[in-house]
Amino acid sequence: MSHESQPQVVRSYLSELEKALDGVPREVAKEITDGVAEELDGLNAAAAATRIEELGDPAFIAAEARTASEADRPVAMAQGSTVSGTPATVTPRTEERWYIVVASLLVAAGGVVIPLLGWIAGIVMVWMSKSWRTWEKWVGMLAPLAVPGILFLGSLLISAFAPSNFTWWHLAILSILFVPFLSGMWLLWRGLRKQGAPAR
Amino acid sequence: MTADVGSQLRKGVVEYCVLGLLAREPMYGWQLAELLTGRGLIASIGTLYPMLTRLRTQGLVSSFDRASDAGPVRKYYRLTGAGTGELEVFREQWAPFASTVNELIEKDSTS
Repeated sequence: MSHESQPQVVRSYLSELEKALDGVPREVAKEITDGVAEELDGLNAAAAATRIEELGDPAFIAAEARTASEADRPVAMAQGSTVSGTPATVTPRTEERWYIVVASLLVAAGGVVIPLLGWIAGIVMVWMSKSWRTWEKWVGMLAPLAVPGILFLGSLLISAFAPSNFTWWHLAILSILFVPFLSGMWLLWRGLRKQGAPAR
Repeated sequence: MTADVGSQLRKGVVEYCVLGLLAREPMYGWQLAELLTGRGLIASIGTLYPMLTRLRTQGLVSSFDRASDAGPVRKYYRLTGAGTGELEVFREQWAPFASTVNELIEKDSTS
């Protein structure tokens, strides 16, 4: 069934689910949306609404998927081997940890080491990672641009309408240094916070 | 310790319950979800699909598309040879394990 021929309730639910699954590993998110789309395929609006109620709130499904994906595997299969002793695939958390630290430090101080390019490299690393939610990436990227910009515009307005000895544009220039630092530290905290979450 | 005993117990066995269900017949996601949520083993499909992805990565289950007469083409999951072996080992361990736990937690009838 094409998207156009799906009842509105199905289209809305799928779209809401896709948004809610942001941050869930791509393969798992696709498996869930495909499975749900398959389940709702061919149903009329009334039947689809009933099934959607059974499926549950997209935010709840996504939260469960996030927890299940982040958690270590269950006891029997979690410790590097399965019951039968066959080596199991274990994703090391440390691999992500160093990545988070390097990306965050580049955002924080990369621009000082290699002007602009260092900061851009950090932002690219952040966007390539699944360790941050999309909104966190936007905040990490836009804050160092927006805060100095606002301060600079503010300094222009203040000097135009209320001239004083205080040079606001100095503050704007200083913010070019300290806001990326704060932004990098915030990204580091957000990224490691997820890493450090206890296995459930 | 008593915070969520059920959750801890489910975590250790739910994957084997999926293997057990798939040993009976290949099933699609919703079919598995209904059986597992109905028995209180998972809360939603949000728990099921990461588990299926993990089992597939481990080579214990595989998936295939099957068209039905009335409904849509669905993705079915089935047990692989490795999955069958894994389930067999678990079955052998589960009965004595459950029996031991029962024995230890049983109320003392003499008191």
